Amino acid sequence: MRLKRQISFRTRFIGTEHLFLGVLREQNCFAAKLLRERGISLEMAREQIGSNPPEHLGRTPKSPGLPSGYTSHRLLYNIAAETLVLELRASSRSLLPTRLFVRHKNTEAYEQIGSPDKDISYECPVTCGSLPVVVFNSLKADKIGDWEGVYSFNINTKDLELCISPQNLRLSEAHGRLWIPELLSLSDDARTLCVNIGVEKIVSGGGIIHSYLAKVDLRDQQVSLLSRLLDIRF
Amino acid sequence: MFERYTEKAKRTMFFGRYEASQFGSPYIESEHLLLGLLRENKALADTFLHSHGGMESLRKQVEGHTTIREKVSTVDLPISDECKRILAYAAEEADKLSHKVHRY
Repeated sequence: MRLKRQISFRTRFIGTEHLFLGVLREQNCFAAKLLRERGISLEMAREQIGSNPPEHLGRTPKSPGLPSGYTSHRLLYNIAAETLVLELRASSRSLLPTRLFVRHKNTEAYEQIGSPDKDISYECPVTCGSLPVVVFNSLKADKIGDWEGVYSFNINTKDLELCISPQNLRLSEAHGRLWIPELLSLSDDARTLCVNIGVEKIVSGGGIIHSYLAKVDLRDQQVSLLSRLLDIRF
Repeated sequence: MFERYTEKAKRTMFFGRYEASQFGSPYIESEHLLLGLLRENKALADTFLHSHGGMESLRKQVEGHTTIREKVSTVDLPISDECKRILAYAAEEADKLSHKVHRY
């Protein structure tokens, strides 16, 4: 079963990048003048900001082992393996897929997790306290993405294992399509994953999609819905 | 008024107010907001100001522009009309940009 999804995630929050654009739009104010003197135009700022996730108008990472064209999106630390986990997202409108990297705290160079195809994004990593494990999401990298599943990566052995697949994910209630757009946390024993899950309910004439906070048992891929997420819009 | 603001944006307003009080300004002006913004979101400063003498030159210009009065310690400095328009534009931008974010 291939899951086609088109998610339009409306963040209606006002962030610093919006304030920055607001300053530039108030053309006659002193702050806008200062920015204009530095060659910063509204169009240029919009271009730069529009292609980045909110509040992650990233710095270009400079550590060895990291590709260009990316900005840092999220940094995690796995205590058990004393290893940093870095999520890089495309820094411009290029459609570079999201990539994950790891490095031990005492080394300089990052190593990429796995070797995904060009149209696959590895993203949204979570880690746990007592095991050297990173769990992350895999999606087709274009804008209307297909969910590929969830992988588990062992930092020490470098083993990569598909731990949730669209075919095997199970929910006891009646449902249509089921997919995971976002990972939220991982239990300390790395057996339970908390996710934001999209559940299609079949009603007469089609399906409605609801978003839930859910737990997934990684041993049998059984989903337990915990709470409806009304604040996430599809 | 700031319930839709992210934590960083709220802190920006806090720093903007702080900057205004340091300059002894009776209002939070656009330049105070900008200084607050660049202080709170270092990535913005890095992205847009790195090759232009950075924050120091910007701050100097703001100092040159301002008549420095005695520092005010009031917590509820009013927002200038210009700044109010900036906040309204920011809200518009947030609604506009959110349409473009199609994926996680």
